[in-house]
Amino acid sequence: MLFNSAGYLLFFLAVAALHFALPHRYRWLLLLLASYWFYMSWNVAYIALILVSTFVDYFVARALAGSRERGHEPRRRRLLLLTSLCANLGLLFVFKYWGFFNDSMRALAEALSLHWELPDLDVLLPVGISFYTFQTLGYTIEVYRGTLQPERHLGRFALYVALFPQLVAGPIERASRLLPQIRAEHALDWNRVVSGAQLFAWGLFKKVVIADRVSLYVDAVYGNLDFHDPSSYLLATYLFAFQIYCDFSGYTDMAIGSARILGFDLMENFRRPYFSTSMTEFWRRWHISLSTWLRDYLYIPLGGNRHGVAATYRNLLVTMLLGGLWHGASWNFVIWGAFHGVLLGLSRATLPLRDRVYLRAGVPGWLRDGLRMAITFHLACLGWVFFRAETLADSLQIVGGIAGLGAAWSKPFVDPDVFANAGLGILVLLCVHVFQERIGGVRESLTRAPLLLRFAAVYALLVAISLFGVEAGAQFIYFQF
Amino acid sequence: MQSRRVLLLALLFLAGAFAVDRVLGLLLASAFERLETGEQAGLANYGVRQTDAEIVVFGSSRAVFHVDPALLEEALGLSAFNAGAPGQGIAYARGIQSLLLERGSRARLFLLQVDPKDLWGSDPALIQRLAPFYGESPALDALLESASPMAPFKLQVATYRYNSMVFPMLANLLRERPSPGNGYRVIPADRPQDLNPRHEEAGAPGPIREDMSALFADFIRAGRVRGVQVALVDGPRWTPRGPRAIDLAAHPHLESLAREHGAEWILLDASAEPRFAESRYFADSAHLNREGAAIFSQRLAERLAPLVPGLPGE
Repeated sequence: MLFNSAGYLLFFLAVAALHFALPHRYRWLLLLLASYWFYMSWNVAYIALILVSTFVDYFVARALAGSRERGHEPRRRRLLLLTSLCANLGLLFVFKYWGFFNDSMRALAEALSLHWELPDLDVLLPVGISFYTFQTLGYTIEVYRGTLQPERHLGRFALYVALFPQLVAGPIERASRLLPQIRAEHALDWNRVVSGAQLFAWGLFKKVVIADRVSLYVDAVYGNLDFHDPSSYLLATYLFAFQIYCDFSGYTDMAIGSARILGFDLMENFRRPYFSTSMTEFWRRWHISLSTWLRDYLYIPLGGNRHGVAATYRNLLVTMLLGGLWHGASWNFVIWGAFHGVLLGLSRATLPLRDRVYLRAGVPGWLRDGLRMAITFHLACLGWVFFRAETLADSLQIVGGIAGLGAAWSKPFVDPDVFANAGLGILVLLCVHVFQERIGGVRESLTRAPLLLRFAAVYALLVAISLFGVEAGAQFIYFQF
Repeated sequence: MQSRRVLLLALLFLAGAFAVDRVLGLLLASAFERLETGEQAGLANYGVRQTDAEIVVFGSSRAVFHVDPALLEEALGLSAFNAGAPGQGIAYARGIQSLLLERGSRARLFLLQVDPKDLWGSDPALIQRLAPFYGESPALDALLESASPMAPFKLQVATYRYNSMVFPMLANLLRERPSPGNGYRVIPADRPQDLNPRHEEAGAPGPIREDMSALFADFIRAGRVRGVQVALVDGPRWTPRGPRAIDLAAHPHLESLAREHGAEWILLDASAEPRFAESRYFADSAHLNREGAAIFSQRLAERLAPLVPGLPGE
């Protein structure tokens, strides 16, 4: 059940109506059943994986707190944490990484003239497995650290793991934020309903008007590299930058909007990342819930920047490598992660030098920021090639082609239908983002505007979705992670 | 007090949304009405206005590029129009046919150039091109509504009926384009010949879908009920390695459908016309060039002559 489907709209309206009609003490049950129903609309059997994660982390967290209260040795708590890590990461490994691991080992064994014979598991990747395993792992780690009290109510904890708006593609919520909201009673608040609906419509616009339209061009080029030339590779890569952003942030807006109507505040996941002036800033604005998760549960435990320059760069690289691998089981994602790890290191190392160069050259601040933004955007685009291409060979063909090492450049393939419809959407997106960067929130400004203008803005969005949205759109890209 | 205000605002918002949708829908309908060119919009509009044509040709690009109505007119003495549309299939043909019949078509013969793969399904999004005509014909409405479970609701939104059409409509309104004439088009002679047989190696993908088969039957019945002769025809392809598996599976089925519902089945491939075994009559593996299309149209006229009362050869 996709957010951009009429089926979801009906499902959500029914759940929201029942949610507010029910007494508070039964709402968790309604939302839990709705969340499981929502997940089972993809694959009924895989609900078992969520249940395993839920039960393991519920009981491990309770045992961790009990062990701390009774003053047991830290070793016992480490064992309990290890149980949770093994269960969650084990599920992730089997269902997501086994095929990749097996293939890689087979190739390595072949190269070394050795024998590697383990069976492939013919299993489908469970939707959203990386998201909910990280969410539940974060909870257990916090309880282990003693910074969070475990949830006593199994049902409410299960709802924390499975709350449907953010179940399949985040944001990866922290228990300290979401569990209190699940416990709290939410009254029907019309301001929240209006604001949530507006955000949902904006996310839908990004998904169906921009991401799904642009994907028609990107898929045509990336899926048939030999039929296209480097100018089309470049154009498709720029467009993919908008596709991936609008697809994922569109999903997030719809998730946050849905949750807001129900009374929950999910965390911000994107803050106009292509306005970043450095890769460090990019990762503070892109997929914020994952980058902060990696920072808190991987980078800092590895030592962060506390053990010298070399260790800092190593930690950055390891964190981003694993962050890349989190996205998908392929060497392309490993390279994408490593690329960002190296860029983060370089960004950190060269910042003083770059500042001096700009200062000496007398470059005005606005131009310096503009240049930095352009460079950061292009570096992100270079990374997107590895993220989007089907294989490593395809990535190299694209990068080589753009760099002038392959076929000669000629006129790019142009699809007027895609360019006109998506171009309009991208223009609107950029206007909104510039407004947000320069002036502030569009929705906040709208709330102060006359009623007619407020209505007109929403009508424009709805008409744009109706007229320019792609009818049979694709699944969200991040669902596969 | 506050909830009353909220309710009032919600009603005001919905009423405004309804009004905006209807006004924009009217504007788009008026723009659409003026269009007669462009595959995204105008071609269908032009096609459904050809109610005077006595022979109407339906089908995909293989109808557009293969059947020359001028040659049919010359041979049969009946006015003819080619309402084929590249990329389209049986659903589109049934939609255009139903609109023509609703508008009082004087047709005496409906000729459908079949695409065998339609028997195994077609992209429901393709029929969306006829959404501006929603409400004009029950048969077309049923086709549009069958695209998805929510389609009947979506089609109530006037602007949605023009989904993805605004820019093509604008481009056609602003740019002078040649009129579609009698609907026949020739593949440009300067286009390099592409006879890669791999393009034509389609296998039969499992059992034939009953709903798709029923659509062909509907097409025949709709014509026969109004006293219009119907012929299903399949033309040649460049298949040097022998007939395609999909054709071998589809042709007997289509022939029996035609016989069952009182239509004619015409297979006009290399087995019926030896010249179609020569590559020089093909622009690519699925389409004839100008010379090939002329031969095809003439041979087709010979086969059609006995079908229409009062024609030579009857």
